[in-house]
Formats: sequence, C-alpha cells, structure tokens
Amino acid sequence: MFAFVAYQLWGTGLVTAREQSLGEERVVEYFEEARTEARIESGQELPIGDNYGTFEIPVDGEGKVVEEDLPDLNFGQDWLPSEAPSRGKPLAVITFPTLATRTETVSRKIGLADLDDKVSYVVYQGEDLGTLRKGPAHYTDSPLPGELGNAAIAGHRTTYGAPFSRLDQLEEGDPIIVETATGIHTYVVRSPSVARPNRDFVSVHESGGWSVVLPSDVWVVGAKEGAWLTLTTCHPKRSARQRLIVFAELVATTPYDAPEGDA
Amino acid sequence: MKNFLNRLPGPAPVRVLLFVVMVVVALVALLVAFEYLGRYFDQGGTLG
Repeated sequence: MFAFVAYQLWGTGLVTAREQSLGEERVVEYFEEARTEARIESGQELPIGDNYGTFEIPVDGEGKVVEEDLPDLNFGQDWLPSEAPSRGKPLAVITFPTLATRTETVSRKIGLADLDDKVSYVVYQGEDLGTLRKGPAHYTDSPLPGELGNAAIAGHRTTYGAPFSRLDQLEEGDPIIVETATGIHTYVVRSPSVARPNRDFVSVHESGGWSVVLPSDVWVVGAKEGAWLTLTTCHPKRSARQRLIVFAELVATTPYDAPEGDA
Repeated sequence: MKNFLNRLPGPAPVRVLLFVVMVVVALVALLVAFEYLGRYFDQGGTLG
C-alpha cells in the first residue's frame, strides 16, 4: 500500500518533470516551425526571434487583471498554424501568475526555474492518458488557445506532477496566460454562472472562480460563443468522482515582438 | 531470497538470470497494476 501511494504521489511526478523539462525547448521549436511555415505560405512578416515567453499584464494589488488597461481585444493572428501538432507533442505554455504572486505587474520569461515554481506548464496536444502523463493536455476536438470558441485543457490534480492541483485557488478576475505559436493570450477567470452556455446546464457546486460537475457533463468542453478557455481536473483531490472546472475568457492577445533589426 | 534462488532449476548463472527476469516481470506487473488502480485516484480530469 505504501509503495502504491508513494508511486502515485511522487513516482509519477518524476515522469512529468522529465517531460516538462524536455517540452520547454520543444514547444519553442514548434512555435518557430509554425511561424516559419506560415511566413512562407502567406508571405507575411511574422517575427521570429528568441523572445518567446515574455509578458507583462496589468493587475491590481490583489492580482486581478485590470481589464480597462488592456488594449482592445484583437485576435491579432490573421494567420493560424496550418495544423496543430500531433498527439503527444508540445502545443503551448500555460501560466497561473496569481498562484505565485500578487503584485502590480506580473512578468515572466520561460526558463526551467519558472517551470519549477509550479505556476507554468508546457501543454501537450491530445487528452489521452498517455499525453496527460506529460503535463496539461489540450482536447483535440476543441479550438486552439487564442482562437474563437472554447479551447479546453485537462490536467492531473493529484498525480503526474499535479499541474492543476491548485485550480480551486483561482478566483474570479485572476489572469491565466497561454502562450502559443500565434502570441500571448491573456484570459480572465469568470464566474461559472456567467460562463455557463445556458441555464439548462447545472453544476454540482459553484464557488467564485470554479465549479464542480460530473465526469459525464461534456457540455463543459462543448462549443461556446466568444473566445474561452476551459480547464478541467479531477475533484475532490485523490478521487476521480467529479470534475473541477475553471472558465476563463480571452481579453487580450499580444503578438510576439519583432526581434531587433527585423521589424 | 537466497533459498528461493537456490530452488530455481539449472546451474548458478541460469538461476541468476531467471531470478533477474522474474524480478523485472514482477516490477512491470506491479507498475501496470499501480497505473490501473491510479485511475481511481486521478483520471487526468477529462470529461466524457
């Protein structure tokens, strides 16, 4: 019994830690490949540099996004990757700034130290169990983060590094940053009552920034108007009986800066 | 463990090899069982 618990809580985490470390480099390679391809196909000038992973968002003293200080929502990407990466490949980086700190400005640069602080994770493509061992996983049937619709990402709550262990600490107004090949996308956590597609869909329980549903409630990851991010994980901790859900709405998309001398 | 090793058939090198194979198989079986049971613990949060 002890061996089982030790394996689940710590052994599985070693697998994820290794994949996250490898994914950190591979995700940037994917960004650059996708942008190079799009640049060739469209003839557009898409900046390619080494400046991925830098962002700055306006937040108040409690770490909530000050939405009026954000530029108007502009989907920014008049190009999209010709195809998403195949199952099991790195797709994006997701960051929960307020789980680390609540200051006037939140900024970060991709780096191993940041991944170690448990607020940033490489997201992989495909919500199968094999991929979920590597880190948070994007539902392949949902739009990519940053696109219109409901982009959905699942993650372990207790095992395999537990990337979504603290989703229940997110509050309404908290930022979630998702970096993809197209840019840096800022989402804001919304109340479940606002985010539900309509009143026919009910939750088992709702709090300020999250709700609890049954594993069969697939409406959670279904199509939605606007641009949303839906995060799903197991609930309660150490049980697969229910699902904890966080809904966040896209409020800003920032294209990557052009590298110096290549404006 | 030494008694178990001695009870295996064949000369000493074969017995050691058999023992190593049995340990590896047991570990893999344990890992598979842990993975299966782990799904009751945490399914990765997927729906459907």
